[in-house]
Amino acid sequence: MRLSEAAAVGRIARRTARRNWKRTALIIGLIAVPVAAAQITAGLAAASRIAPEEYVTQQLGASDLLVQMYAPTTESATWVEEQLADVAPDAEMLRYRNAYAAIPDATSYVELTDLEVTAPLAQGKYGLIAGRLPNASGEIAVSDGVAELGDLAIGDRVQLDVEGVASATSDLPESFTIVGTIRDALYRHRRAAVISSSDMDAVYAASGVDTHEFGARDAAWLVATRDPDGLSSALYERWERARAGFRPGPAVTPKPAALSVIDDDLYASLSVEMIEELVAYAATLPPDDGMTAQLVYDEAFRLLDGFPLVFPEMVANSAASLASYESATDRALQAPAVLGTIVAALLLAEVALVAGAAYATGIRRRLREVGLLDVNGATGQHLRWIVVGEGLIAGVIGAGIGTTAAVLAMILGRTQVQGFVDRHIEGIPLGVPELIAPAIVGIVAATVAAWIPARAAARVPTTSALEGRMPLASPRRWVVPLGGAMTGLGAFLVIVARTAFGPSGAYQAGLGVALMIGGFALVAGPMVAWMGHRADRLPAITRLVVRDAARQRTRAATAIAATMVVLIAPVVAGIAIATSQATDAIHGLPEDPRHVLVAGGSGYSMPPTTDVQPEDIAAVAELLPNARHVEFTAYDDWTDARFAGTEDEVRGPGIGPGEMSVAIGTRELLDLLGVSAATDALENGKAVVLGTQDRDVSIIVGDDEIDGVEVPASVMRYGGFPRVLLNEDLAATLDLGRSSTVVLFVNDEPLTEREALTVGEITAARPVWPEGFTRTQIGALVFGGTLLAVIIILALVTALAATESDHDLRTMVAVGAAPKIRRRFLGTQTVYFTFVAGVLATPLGLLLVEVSTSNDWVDVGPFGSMNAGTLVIPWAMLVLVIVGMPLVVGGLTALAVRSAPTVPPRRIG
Amino acid sequence: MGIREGLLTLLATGPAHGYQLKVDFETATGEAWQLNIGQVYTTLQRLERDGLVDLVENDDEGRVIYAITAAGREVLTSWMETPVQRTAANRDDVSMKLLLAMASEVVDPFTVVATQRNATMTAIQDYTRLKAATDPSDLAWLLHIDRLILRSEADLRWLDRVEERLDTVAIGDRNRVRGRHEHDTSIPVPTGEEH
Amino acid sequence: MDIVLSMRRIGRTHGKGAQRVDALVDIDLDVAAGEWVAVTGRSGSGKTTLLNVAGGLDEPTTGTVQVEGAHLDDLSKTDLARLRRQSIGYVFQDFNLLPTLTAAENVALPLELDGVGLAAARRQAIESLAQVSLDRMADRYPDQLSGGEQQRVAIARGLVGPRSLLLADEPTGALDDLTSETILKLIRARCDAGAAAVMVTHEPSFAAWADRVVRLRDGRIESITEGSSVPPSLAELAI
Repeated sequence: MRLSEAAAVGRIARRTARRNWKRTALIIGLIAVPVAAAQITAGLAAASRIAPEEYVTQQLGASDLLVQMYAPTTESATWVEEQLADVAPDAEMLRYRNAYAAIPDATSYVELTDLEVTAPLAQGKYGLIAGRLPNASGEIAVSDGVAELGDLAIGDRVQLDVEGVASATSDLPESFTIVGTIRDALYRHRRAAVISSSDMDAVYAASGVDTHEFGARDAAWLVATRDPDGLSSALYERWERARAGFRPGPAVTPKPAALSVIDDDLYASLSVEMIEELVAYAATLPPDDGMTAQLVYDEAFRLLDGFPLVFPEMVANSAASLASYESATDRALQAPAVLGTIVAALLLAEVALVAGAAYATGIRRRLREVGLLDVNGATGQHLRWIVVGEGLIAGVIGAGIGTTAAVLAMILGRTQVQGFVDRHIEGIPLGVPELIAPAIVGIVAATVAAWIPARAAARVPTTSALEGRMPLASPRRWVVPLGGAMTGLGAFLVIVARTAFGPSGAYQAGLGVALMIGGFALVAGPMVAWMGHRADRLPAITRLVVRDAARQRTRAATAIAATMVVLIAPVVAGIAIATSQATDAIHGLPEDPRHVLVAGGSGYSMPPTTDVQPEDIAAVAELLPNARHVEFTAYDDWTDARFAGTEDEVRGPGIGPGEMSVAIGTRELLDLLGVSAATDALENGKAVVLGTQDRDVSIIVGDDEIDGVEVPASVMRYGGFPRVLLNEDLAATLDLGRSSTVVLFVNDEPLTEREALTVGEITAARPVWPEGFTRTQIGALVFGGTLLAVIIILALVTALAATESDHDLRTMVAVGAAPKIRRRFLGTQTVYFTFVAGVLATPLGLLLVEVSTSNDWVDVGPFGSMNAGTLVIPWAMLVLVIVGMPLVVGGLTALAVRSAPTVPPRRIG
Repeated sequence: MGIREGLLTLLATGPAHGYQLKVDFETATGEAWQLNIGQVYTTLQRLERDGLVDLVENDDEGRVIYAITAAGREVLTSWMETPVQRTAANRDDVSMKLLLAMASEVVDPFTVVATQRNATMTAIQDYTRLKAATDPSDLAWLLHIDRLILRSEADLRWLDRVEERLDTVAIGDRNRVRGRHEHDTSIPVPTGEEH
Repeated sequence: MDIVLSMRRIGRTHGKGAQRVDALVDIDLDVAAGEWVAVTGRSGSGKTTLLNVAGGLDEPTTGTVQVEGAHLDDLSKTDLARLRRQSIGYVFQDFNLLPTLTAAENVALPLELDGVGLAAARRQAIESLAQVSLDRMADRYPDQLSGGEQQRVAIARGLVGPRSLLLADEPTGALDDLTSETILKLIRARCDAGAAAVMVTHEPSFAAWADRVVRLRDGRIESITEGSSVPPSLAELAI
């Protein structure tokens, strides 16, 4: 196309876009929103992604090799220094130590280090934000993450709590003065603090190695060397030979055959008594059971109270090994990108469909202009570009507005973005690719939306166009096979995308979803036309609606496809809800976010080993003044309570067979749990099982079988929470082992996140972590949102369609129909569109869920997680979507629209 | 237009005697034009004198039968094919000619319409050219020409209407002289006094 | 004389079998440069079909059409479009102009689509508008023009630049008599200046402005009248 042709064509497109500014504004808005959403998603994904080089710098600073000795002893630490001096005598090195502590009222853990942050070798690991580094005992520099949590500033004084050993009882200074704030190279929320070397000595002394989990403290060396990988290999080689010398031997040698499944490190942690008990336990297990190894392992852990001994372990990482490790873990970070791409693809497909309907209607009204252009020698190419140009203009402006909005949002919401991605962000976290790709996709969507009506208009014979008539072409023969092929290819891409991680997977999935929708949209046209041929026996209005849709196939098909896309949401949500409800029936009701359980001990061990501490009760009571609480006796053994006559298949309430802990039930406890109806049963000597439904059950506790009643109740997903309640008399007749007192708090309202956090800091108390929304709320949101979206789409399409059908309707009024025929017509039309859309959306939604869950468990927010094997299809709800939704939308439309005007039809110029 | 051409037209469909010609004439013109039998005989005698008709014979009842001659046909055809002149714009003449054409088979009435239309169209074209050449300030002339054009246009409209009506009535249903002559044997027998 | 439009033995049928309709039968028509032909006839007589076939909007079933020597049936769609840009101007009863373009832009449209530079196209458009005395209104939009002015713009567009054949379908159908006369005088003037025109109309008094009046009946040419070779004298017409 030559310049002046393009100018002429562009001028008409531009002026038409301006003249029909309502339509243009609608499409601009439709494009801007998903473009901005996609750009922000991409920006967040890019900002949260950690490049291997960045990770390497965070770990190595300016050095070449990081050697760490976890759970070091003095001997093992000295060993490392000797080896380094031996293998690489010229290497420069920087030694430092790390340990964990808590800062009361700020954070339950903080990584302490005595690294000389400003040393040349440490460059890049931390940055100093304000103040200075500690250079004397009693001084501390905390990371911004810690400062934020505890609302701390330079000059504040804090205490350090090293694994329950208060500062006061050791050589640790009683309190530390904050002299500076530091930042981690990568993470904004990293809880780190720098203390002086002398204070680190005290921390080391206070944290006994034997009782701590792996990595509670370590010694580290940053080494500058020419051949880090050679040095690393040499160190590993020597460590393999030397490591046995740094740990105690097992208590009993040789290892009994029954315990062969336990690895040597774990075995070495066991005392003689533990080994004897374990051997006895193993003897009770049936032979040839696939579970045997796991049970023995679990029992060993239980005997160790969850913490086996930790022995010194050396790790030596060079840039190369760190980078390969980081790129392997990189894929997890692609998840938001995948989801974002799919959502953006859906949105843009939706936009293309709605905009397509708008353009299809517009072009029908402007056929006369097409005819005039035709007789003035415009070629098909000119005609197409005039309409496509209009879409292009709307797309470019929409993408521009979207991009501006995204950039502004990222600038204005920088603090939130930094918090969300847990990174320090310099400048705007939106690179050119993150901005360009969604913008281009948005422009393409608008252009594609205009392309199909443009093509159709360019094909109309000139003489028909001049008369404003668009002859009804029969559906092209390739449409249905092509639609089928597109759907198939789309489904294939989605399946393949599940197994291909990384960006390509995201694009495959996005493309696949778009293809499937496109395929269904293609099929919708012929389907509507086919139904038009079979409308003879329908009542007048319905017949008119079906025939009208058949005549204006493109608009009807795009409206149906747009509605279909939206209706996929309730189908998917319905399946998720039904599935999670079915899962509840097996795994127990959802947790009650008002519950707080306070038990003795550290709170890590389950069940609790000691009675609850009064100060812990007081602390929770102070925090939750409106909460009621009941003290009760729980048995510390994992009592082997299970349903009589069941095995794995029907688990009953609880986590699994034999995981229903036993407690003494009282009237107060039952009241608090909201199951007072079971009080009689309890007092009559029956067991009360907190489960999922009302039924009589038989419970096996130890060797005894007890009659019981099961009642639905929310329980915590935590072994210490009682599931089987007995009265005292009954409990006395059973051999239930040791007991301890625990307290259940039930707050009047669900705990806020902050309250839950604070409760969590009290080590003996366990809150239920709050979720943003409950399942029911999400379900209601999805259905409400869908209804709203369907109404908006169909209102748009109806408004557009009315400009065409009003002519027919006026004629009908002129021949004697009541003016309210318009309401009935438009209402029936939306019923029809929504119904067909529902019929198409149901299999599409089922397929999407089935496909996306076939390889994996998929996390679906508050609904838990789904897997193809666990899916439950809620047929009743799907019928509701197919039948109920159309009736509601149609009824609302009929109420909202005006009756037909009685002015006789005029020729549309 | 006279009785002369009318009688010639009727004789062109076949020989006839005087009284029959009077009845046929009145039938063809929708009895809108009453003829005196004396007028008929006088005209026939003049036609015989000019050699346009021949006295054929006396029939069974002694009545004189006339027939058209070749010369008579020639005169008739040329008359039929000549449009009525605009200067003497006499619609009655045009109507008469059309009615007679419909009643006979001498000339297709469509031909008459077409001929008359061409003449009228030509006239309108002539007027329009005069108008185009007229000084726009010469109102008197322009108004006169407009009147002539509009009147001619009305003529054309009427011709169109004639054509449409002819289209809607089948040929067999028109008032045709021959048809009545052949099938209706109950023509009233003229009495002797009428001779 | 140069023959601009030549139609030979044109036939056009719609439908098949019992539904077959002969829209045009055996039409022969030549229109020379400077000549204006009016086509009349009752509705359904094939007037508009004749015009559509002449402009290449409709294809004849039989026969050939030549415009400026080019056989239309030899031309591809693209070539036909170019022919319409360069040679043929259409004027319809109403709604002739694109509402989004000014008068000058409407007139310049075929030139611009043909690749003529913007400035040159505008200059030629203004020239053409000047010939219909509308150059003062060049930058108005169609909805700021009266019906007669819109038709004049359409005529200006129909004969802009190299265009030499004006095809008009009831160009005065939506106008009153005196405004119609202005339009007809304009076409007359453009034809006297060398353009060729074919105009479909059902009004004899409008058709009379043409050099020849072709009357169609059932798709056939019934008559062609050209006025008297010796025009009547004024005296003859005196009251």
